[in-house]
Amino acid sequence: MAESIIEVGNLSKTFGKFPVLKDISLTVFEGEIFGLLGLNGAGKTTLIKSILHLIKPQKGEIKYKGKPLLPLHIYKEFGYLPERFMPPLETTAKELLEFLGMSLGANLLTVSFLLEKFNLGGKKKIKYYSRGMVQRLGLCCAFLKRPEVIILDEPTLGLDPLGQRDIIKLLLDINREGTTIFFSSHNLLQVERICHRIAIMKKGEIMFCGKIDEFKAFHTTESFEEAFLKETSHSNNEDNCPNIF
Amino acid sequence: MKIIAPIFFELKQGVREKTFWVVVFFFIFLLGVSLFLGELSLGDTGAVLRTVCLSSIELSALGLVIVRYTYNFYREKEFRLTDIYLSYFSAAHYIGGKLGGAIIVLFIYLFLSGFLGSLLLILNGAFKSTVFTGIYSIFLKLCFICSFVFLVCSLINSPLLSSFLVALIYLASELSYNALRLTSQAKYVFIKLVSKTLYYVLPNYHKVDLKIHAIYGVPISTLYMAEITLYTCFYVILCYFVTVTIFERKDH
Repeated sequence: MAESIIEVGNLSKTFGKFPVLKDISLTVFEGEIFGLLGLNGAGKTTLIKSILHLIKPQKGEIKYKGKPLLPLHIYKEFGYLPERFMPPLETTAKELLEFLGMSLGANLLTVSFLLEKFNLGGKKKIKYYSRGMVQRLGLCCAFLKRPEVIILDEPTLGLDPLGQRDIIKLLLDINREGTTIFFSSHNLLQVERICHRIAIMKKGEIMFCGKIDEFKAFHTTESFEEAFLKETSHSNNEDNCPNIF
Repeated sequence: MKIIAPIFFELKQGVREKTFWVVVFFFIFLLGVSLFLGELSLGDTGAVLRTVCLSSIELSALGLVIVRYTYNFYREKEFRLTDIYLSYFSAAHYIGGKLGGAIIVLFIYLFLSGFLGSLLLILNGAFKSTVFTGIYSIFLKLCFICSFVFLVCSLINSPLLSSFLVALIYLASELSYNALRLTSQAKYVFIKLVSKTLYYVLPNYHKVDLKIHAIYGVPISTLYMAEITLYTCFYVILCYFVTVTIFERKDH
């Protein structure tokens, strides 16, 4: 059994009077691809931002390898690609990566290697990039520090099938090198194809956390999509769901 | 080292973006107007030219600081760049880098506009070496504004409101000494208290602004220059710490 790399325990966050995260608990294991699913407004981005210390939760704890997660861990061990990412347009990919790399002491060789690996021309200004290239650059920014964990918020959003395929291929490559991947997505097919485990969120709560096969078996269906729709649309089922925490 | 990276990046972006060059062209336009005004003036043409030239430099640089840095701050937030930066840098490094970069871009702009302005004054026989003192005092005045830009942006979520507030702070700082003088004879203690508080809390432009000296060629002692420079540094650093504290406490 792999060791846990991220443990979220009883995390709660309220925006004004509106609870966005309600006592969330989940565990991500080392080396796995973990998918976070849920309808819009379920609290996925808030959960991701809470893990990254971008949002301060009112209650709960987040652990990294069994110890409280500190900002220093995030600067060194966590890569992040947010949703709707758009880099500064007047710079080149090389300049952006070198700038981020300066904070880590990453050398120019690493940057050139990454530009090649992610199939990006370093000299072209970002304003001339396609959406797919921008997203690959975002992934490159997340991977630059060779993190232990990469957190991605809807990484294939707005990409054409070819762009989506490129991103998925890169994610699988990165994961093969030992990096844990935690990502949120609305693309059920992709999630089913690449995730080892998933969590389903609904209205700020974790409704299910486990393997996809278990999820399908619970809903007595062969279709992941059907199981997902059952889970997220049936309010009557809420009390019966196996919220393992 | 960590703070140097964002400074360099900010600097690179700052001089490449259209805003910077739009402001440069706006300044050249103002210089043309100042030349025209100099031709029209009946009195001391040299003083008029120096006044309009220094005011053009200050006005255009103020526009650059407010427009470029306010909108850039919100743009980075909107496109989640801030989130990526914050996964690499602490809030102190991020804000420090932005502030440092802004001050260097401001310095470059003032150097460029100061050079063009001085050239115009030399061609019209209106140049005095004190003009440089005036430009330096503009630099100090706008350093305060740079620090306020990031402070206000960290507090408020609207770019328009932030720009307006920063412009208001600039105006209030310009007028606080006059307000203090006017209200010194007022009956109400409250009004006196407000004007006194504004005078001491806001940057003291009455002491820092040396444009009048520059226009009339009055030399300034090195000690005085050192004093106002130290005052500016102290104020900007204080603002920086307040900004970092606010920025760290906010959700992004």
